[in-house]
Amino acid sequence: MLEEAIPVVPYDVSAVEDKSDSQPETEVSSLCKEQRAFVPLSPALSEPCSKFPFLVRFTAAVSAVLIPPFIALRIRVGLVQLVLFPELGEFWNFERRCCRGKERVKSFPLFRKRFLLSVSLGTGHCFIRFGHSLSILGPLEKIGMEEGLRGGVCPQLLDLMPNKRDWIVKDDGRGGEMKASQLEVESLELRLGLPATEEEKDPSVLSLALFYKSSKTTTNNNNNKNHHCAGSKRGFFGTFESRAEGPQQQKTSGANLKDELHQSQERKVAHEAPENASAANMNSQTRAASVPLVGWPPIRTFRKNFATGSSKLSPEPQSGDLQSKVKLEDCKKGLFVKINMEGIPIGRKIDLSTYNSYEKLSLAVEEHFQDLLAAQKDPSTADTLKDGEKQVFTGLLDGTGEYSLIYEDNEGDRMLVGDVPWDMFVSMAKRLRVIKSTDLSVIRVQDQYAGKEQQQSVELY
Amino acid sequence: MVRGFGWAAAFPDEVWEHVFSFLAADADRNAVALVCRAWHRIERRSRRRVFVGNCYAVAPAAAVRRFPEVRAAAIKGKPHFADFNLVPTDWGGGAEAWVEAMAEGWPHLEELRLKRMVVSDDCLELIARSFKNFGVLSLVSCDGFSTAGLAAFAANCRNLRELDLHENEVEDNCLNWISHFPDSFTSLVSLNIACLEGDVNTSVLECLISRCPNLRTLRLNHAMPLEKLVSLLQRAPQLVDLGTSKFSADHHPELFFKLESTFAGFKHLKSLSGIWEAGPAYLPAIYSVCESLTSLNLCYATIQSPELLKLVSRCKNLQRLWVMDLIEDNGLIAVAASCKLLQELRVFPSDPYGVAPPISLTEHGLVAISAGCLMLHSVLYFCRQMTNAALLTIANNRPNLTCFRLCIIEPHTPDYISQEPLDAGFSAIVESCKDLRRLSLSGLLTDRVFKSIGASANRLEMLSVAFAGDSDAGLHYILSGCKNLRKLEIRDCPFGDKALLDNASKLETMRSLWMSSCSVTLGACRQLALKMPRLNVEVIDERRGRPLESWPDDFPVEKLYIYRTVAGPRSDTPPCVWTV
Repeated sequence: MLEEAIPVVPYDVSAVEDKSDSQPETEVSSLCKEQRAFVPLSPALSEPCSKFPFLVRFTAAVSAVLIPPFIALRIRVGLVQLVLFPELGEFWNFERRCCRGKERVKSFPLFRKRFLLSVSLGTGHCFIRFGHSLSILGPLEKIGMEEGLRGGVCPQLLDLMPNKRDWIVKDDGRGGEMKASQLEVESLELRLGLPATEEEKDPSVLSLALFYKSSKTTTNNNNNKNHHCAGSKRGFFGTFESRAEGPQQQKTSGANLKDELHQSQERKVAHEAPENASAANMNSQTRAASVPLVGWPPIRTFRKNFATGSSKLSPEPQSGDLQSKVKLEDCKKGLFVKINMEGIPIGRKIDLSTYNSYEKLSLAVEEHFQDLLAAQKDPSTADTLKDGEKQVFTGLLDGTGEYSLIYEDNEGDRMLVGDVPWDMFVSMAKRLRVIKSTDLSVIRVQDQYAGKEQQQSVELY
Repeated sequence: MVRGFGWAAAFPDEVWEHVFSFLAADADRNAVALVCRAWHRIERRSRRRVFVGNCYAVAPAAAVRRFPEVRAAAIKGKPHFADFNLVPTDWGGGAEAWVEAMAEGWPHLEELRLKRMVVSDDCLELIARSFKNFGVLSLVSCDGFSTAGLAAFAANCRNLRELDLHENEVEDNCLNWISHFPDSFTSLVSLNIACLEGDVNTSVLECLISRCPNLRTLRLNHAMPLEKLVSLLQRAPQLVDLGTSKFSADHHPELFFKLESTFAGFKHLKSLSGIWEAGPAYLPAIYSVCESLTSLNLCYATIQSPELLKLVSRCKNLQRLWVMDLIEDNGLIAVAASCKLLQELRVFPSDPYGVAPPISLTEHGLVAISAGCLMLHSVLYFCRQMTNAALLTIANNRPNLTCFRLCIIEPHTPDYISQEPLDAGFSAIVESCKDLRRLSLSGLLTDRVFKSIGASANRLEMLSVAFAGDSDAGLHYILSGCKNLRKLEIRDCPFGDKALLDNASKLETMRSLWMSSCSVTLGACRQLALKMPRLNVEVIDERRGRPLESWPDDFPVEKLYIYRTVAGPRSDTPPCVWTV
């Protein structure tokens, strides 16, 4: 379903390079105070577009008041600069949204990734630099028009695929063999397109990394401090890649997974027995270790976060070792995250620090919710569903199953779990959600920013 | 005018109004309003303060019509068990209807306190825009709003004195909401933002604090680094009630001295909370204020027993103490010895799910407190073991208890020495504490304890029961006794239809009854709803699925919430809630 919804289209390096000196550039740069070389992807971009397949949205700090008329929007993705030429009125609206959401626009595309890039906005009067994030949403039809309609205009769309080719679904290996440090750095650099390893196999595919290679010299000449985009971490569109590669990925950790599954099942059996007999038999040890009852002990959900989080500390002896203490405090913060599952009104809190891989997390999620899910089902049909339930939780991470696991990062953006190295995920995840895979492409847009936000963000600079 | 009140008519209304102004209790004013038409009229016009214990018990418009001159309103929404995740998140309790009605009818409203309600951002903005003299907003355990809503609220409040955000679920999407307070805004007296998760811009907050000379209460969230906290607090030596941010940092002797001198500068500090993530290194910095403290809330402070001991033994004037069970028995014995004025004690579990090694917090700590703190009247105590003997001792030591909430974390835990149920112990509590208003039961209990509760707990207003009782008789004892019972919440007890139906009329005298995982059937709910038209009988079933009508009478009801109302069935029920 998703593959259909969001076709994966490669960049065409040659196309970009060929067009780099064509007229749209001069047109725009003459309007911008700050002259910069940029590479328009397609000449189609030089005119107001009515039928672009992608919506671009920025979440960025605004450094100046935006005064219409806006002429163009330049986006630099890595070394590529994209240019948007919207109609003036629309553009204003579009921009205003960015301003108002100084911190961020409230609703986020599920696949938003932060790119290390700067977004520049050219106006006739000043050069404005946005912060450093850009998101590309799915095709307009799937996104729904709420956002645009609220502003009274259609969303601006960016044509990234002039050749109308399909995005190619590829696995980038997820960096399994990479060193952790390397991974960490590279994971920060998210890219459009495909990793270097894959490029060589498929030269028709353009990735930013490839583009980087090919255009290194030219950009150096332009004295741009561009970010390197050589990471082979799966990038923005990796979320789709993983779908195709899901089974394969699981295979690698298959043995592990099986053990885990086995253990968790055993544990469950061990817990159920005393629970059934609990009225008569007060085996507190087994009970205490069992899956907690909803709402018991009666602690406010609000304080549960801190109480349980801190409990990890309690047995810690008070050594004078400050370093360990600091570390402890660091890791304590935000390790407990809320997790909700679509259709289940009861949320849970899980401690990310107790898992060390995505697979374990996925198992834990299953453990937390399968009982609740069973309870949701019609009791009369519950028996027949038992087998189906097990499958409900498979493919949580790669989107092949009925449900997908997504998280909200510290900026409130929703992303698919499994995109970044585990440690990074742990440090960023603020909330988890299990949603129907079919809803991945549905983005709810809420508009919440008061008009004041616009002024405010300006004052800050 | 009725004859006997002829003399009353001789006074002008203003005189009566003045007389009534001395009646503080709502109940007294309600009684006054029932005396005669004139008094009803006078009381109605002079009522400045209303409290609505259940937002669905009366229609907002009706409340606004009845009391046109209200200045302060307090409204509660969801059932208490919502705190523990037992109520579906979409259950209801929206503040919108109320705020809209108030905006229309009470333009002079100055104070609004909402508890367990769903407050949208629009709602916040409406509050800020509708009431010219708005001064106090208190949101407790609410959700549904974000910091963007707070920004809108802040931007429109000129005379706000108090903003109290206590344990709300606030979505964090506007980091600088505090900066939206107008520059001319200087009236703030109390600011509690402890429940916010995100960072707060320190410089903006500093500005705000510097320009509000009357600020007395400041409770920060955990996010602010200690260095920034120090510089912030140096601007507000007048604080009476302080909630700190996290109390840990890399070790800097200089920072410690700064912190210490800042705290030494607090001459009026009475209440201290926060101390998130406290490390032992910085705790001694607050020793200087300990003596003057009357309230110490360390329920988020993971301080170990030895440090806690040093800290609390310095707090000689403490009246209220909230701690984690890390304090252990020894710490409580020290509290009993040093805090002779203690009135309220809450001990929270640091590890409710029993993962960490057990902590030596037992019945001994509570017994020591009951013996040492003569003023003690309110207890919330989480522990893992209890004995009847201990409860008897506590009952004898402290007959002045008004609130006794004991949670033995493991359900069905008996007296660990005798293996008996804890009936005798809890019976002793209710028999001895004549003034008991609130009671929470836990541990292994049979119907006997309910018999004595029904017979003795005449002032009991709120009773929480979990995993207790053997049969219907338990519920029958409670409902047929407990003359003053307002709220009853029950979970996982074998209480069923008969007791409920036999005491149906009792339910109309109560505010609400919550039963989940009990033995009530849908048929009983239907009968009850027929019999008592002024009760809303809500069946909550998150399995959703078929409509209520199609279920048979013997269908077991998973969750049941019954409340009295003059507004009729509510219209905003989500799919998982049916009003029978």
